[in-house]
Amino acid sequence: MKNLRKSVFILILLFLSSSLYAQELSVVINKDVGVKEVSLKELKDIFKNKKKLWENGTKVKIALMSTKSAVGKLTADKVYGMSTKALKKFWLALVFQGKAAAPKYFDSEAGLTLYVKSNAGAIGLIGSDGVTDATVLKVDGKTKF
Amino acid sequence: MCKKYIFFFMLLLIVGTIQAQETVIRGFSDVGATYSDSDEENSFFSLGQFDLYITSQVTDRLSFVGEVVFEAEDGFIVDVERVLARYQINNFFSIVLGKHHTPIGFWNTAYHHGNLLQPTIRRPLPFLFEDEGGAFPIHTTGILFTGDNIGSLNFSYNIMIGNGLGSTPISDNDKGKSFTGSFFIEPVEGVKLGVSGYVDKASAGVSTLQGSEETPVVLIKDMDQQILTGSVVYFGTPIELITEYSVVSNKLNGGAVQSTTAFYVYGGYNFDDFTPYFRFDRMDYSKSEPYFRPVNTDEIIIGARYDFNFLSSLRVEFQRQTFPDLDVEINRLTTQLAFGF
Repeated sequence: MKNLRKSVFILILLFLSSSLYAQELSVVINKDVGVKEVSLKELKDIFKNKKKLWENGTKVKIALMSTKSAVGKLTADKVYGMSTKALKKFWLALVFQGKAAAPKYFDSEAGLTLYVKSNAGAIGLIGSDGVTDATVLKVDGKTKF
Repeated sequence: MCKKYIFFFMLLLIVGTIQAQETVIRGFSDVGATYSDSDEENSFFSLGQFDLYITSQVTDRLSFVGEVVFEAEDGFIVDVERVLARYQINNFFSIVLGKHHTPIGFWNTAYHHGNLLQPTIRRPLPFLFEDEGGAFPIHTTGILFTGDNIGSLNFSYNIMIGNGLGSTPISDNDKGKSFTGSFFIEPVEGVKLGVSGYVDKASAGVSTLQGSEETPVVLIKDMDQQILTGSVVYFGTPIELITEYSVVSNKLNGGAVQSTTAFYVYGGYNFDDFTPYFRFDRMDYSKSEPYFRPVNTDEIIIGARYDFNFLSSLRVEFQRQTFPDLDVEINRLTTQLAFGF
């Protein structure tokens, strides 16, 4: 009985930890952008508004998962190196200086993926297990990081 | 009844257009209270500027920023602080037309009229707004050529030609134009090093900062003005540091150069959402200064802010303002709740 309780407890812990924190991200990109692969540094530059236009002249449109979601929190940490609050302040300052348009935030990966597929120049970050039929941008040769 | 339907239809049209163009309206404001030990001013509660700003992505390359401020001044006045149309030529070059914050130094381009985004309650003495008694030309209407994040040093530049001293946002009082150039590098994430220069000629007859609206004091001759500024900025975790040093040369035609030095140093330390900070400002004028009001001023600020979230922040500051030549010292304890919406 004691062993059973222990096993159930461990299982619950494992379940909670995996659902709290998606481990890897994938980049979805509008297929007309024409970019197949970037380095992690280039990816970070794109998401930090250091790149404003793609080579085909379309505007870089950034799509992110809500900062309240596990993927949103992972994005803030892994790509921006910031807390979610600092990330929101980062974008607020850029927009207020007139240097950038704010990213679009989504509550669902399906919604984000649909936005990226439907909008020229769009690029977004979702959990790697949320990729369905979108064009995935490789980062350092990999489809997830 | 018909008018109601027409009005409703027009509202829907506007909302639809706004959504199609990705137009966003946001705002900032603040409220506060100040205790002062000066006999010249009473302690007071205060409303800060009510700042509305509008951004719109018109096309992939064309965007718009507008900033309108409602501020209390014997009633409320409306001030159009920024109107900018930006055209992105490529990733390293944009042209921006309109009324800007003059790209002198770091603070004036990083922080505008929303107090929430700046690290302290008040702007540093060199960068006070013109209607707060500020000495520098904080706003300029003109054309800006700008680019950033260039190369491994993340080089950025702003080159501006605009209406100069004595002009308005809709006209220039003389043929001369102001020229501003600022150049920054970010060799390491969070560290910015920059230099900037402002050059202008003010014509005889232009009002100086030594008078008032009721009793203006005007330049008796043409005056050349140069402002050179060096900036060092570090915004990391947990340390924040900004220091800027400016040398201003004002020279009347046929006269000697009168130099003013202006600097400030700000330091803060983040404990997650809580940041204690300090700042020291100094304005040091030449006694024969022809344009600025030559009242030497020092200001020490010791304060702390608590960020509830990215849209609200509570600040408390002790401020000591000293006028050494007048042997006057004013101490204030100020609190401010700054918020965005």
